Amino acid sequence: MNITVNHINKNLKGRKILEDVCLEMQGGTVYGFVGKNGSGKTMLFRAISGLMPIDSGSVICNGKQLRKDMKILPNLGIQIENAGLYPELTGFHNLQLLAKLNNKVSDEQIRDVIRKVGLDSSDKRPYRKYSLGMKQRIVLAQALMEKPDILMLDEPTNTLDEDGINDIRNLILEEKRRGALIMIASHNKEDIHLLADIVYQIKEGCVLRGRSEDEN
Amino acid sequence: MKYYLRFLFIAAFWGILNFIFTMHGDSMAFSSIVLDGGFGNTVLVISDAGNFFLWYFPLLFFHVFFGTYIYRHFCSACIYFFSRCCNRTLWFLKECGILYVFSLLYLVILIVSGTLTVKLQTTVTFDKESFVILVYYLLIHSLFLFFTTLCINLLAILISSSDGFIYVEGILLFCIATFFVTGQEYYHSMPAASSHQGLIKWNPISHIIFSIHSSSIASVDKLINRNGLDFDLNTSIAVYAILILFAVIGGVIAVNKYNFMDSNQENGG
Repeated sequence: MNITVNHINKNLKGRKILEDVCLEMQGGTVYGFVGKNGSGKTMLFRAISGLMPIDSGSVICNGKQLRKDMKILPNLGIQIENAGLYPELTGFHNLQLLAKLNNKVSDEQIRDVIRKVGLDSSDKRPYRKYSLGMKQRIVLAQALMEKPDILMLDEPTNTLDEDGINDIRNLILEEKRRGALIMIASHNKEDIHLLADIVYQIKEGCVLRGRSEDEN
Repeated sequence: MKYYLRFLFIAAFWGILNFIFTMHGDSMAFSSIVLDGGFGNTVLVISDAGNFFLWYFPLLFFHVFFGTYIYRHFCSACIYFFSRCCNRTLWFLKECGILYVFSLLYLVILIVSGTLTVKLQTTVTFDKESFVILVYYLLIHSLFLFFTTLCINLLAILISSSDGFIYVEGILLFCIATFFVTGQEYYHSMPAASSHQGLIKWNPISHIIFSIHSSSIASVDKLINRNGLDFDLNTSIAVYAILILFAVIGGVIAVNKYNFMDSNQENGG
């Protein structure tokens, strides 16, 4: 799995939110994206995934161009900060509904991934009654459940307690070992230091530099 | 979808409520029951508006409960839903199909529960016109329910959920008011001025009111044509079918062009 991002630009309401972004990414690697609030980390994820149209440039995944050969990146697991699930459904039913769109995972596999993120799959409470940390965990479970080739995680450990943070970090490393291409946007320096192989700094929509964590 | 099935029971509630106080006599024809639901007894005078709303409330409740059926994918879990569902056109058409089935089921439950309520009180007779009137009622009212609910959903996606409901319901209430005002003018100027006839026929709400319709089937025409208007039931089916076609095309364009980036409605509780 490899993704090449070629000179992508995006303007929104007269404001430049992504400017001439170029990236080369490969499977089995964790890419960390750091930057201030509003610097364009989430926008970059949306643009690369295909969820947001770009003004110019291209995203190539395994030789196929996004929006030309495919509408969304294939086998993508995504988690965006503040983007929730269906409030009236339980965590399990939310994942079941989403899983039915591609029919890749069984109910048992859904229960298994819910257990892995530290939740109870038989919890009858609707999503809206979950605590912030539980919401974060179940959204992570939906990103992980189909064993994606590409994993985009926006502040994955935000709102989690210490045990939760460790659980999620271990899960991310497990996905890396499986060969997934992982992109993480985080304010948590420890997350980036422990998880990312290559770190990109984003400032006002520009990717300033990429450095290997080994260079530190 | 299971979540929405529960709302179909609202139809049963309205079916029971609206027929429990109906005067039945020794027996009641099934066609009369269907015509009650299809505004077959609506008189073109303002004083009959209260009776009209008694039968309009079930439709209003459908708008309330299903007005966010398609929209909710855009306010909840949109990122996670559409990162898995690439063909938005196919998805939208499928959801439209399901919404139409809900519209049809809602009316079937309304009539069945109403019929059972009447049957508990008196004898229900099945006359030969019943079937034709039932088919027309289900077709015209389900198309109306589907069209208006689809418009609420589309406006909800494009503007906001509350605005979508307010705009569509506001237009419908304006049409109802206009219908009764022009209807009263028509009623009091028999033989009516052709301009009044035109205003009634061009009013979108008129198409669901059976008492101003006519039919090429003589026995059906005798039951519904109370105001001497040449306003065929088939015309109403054609009008709603055309309106639905435009709404669906508009919807396909809207869902494909929808940019999740511009939405602040994605918190999902």
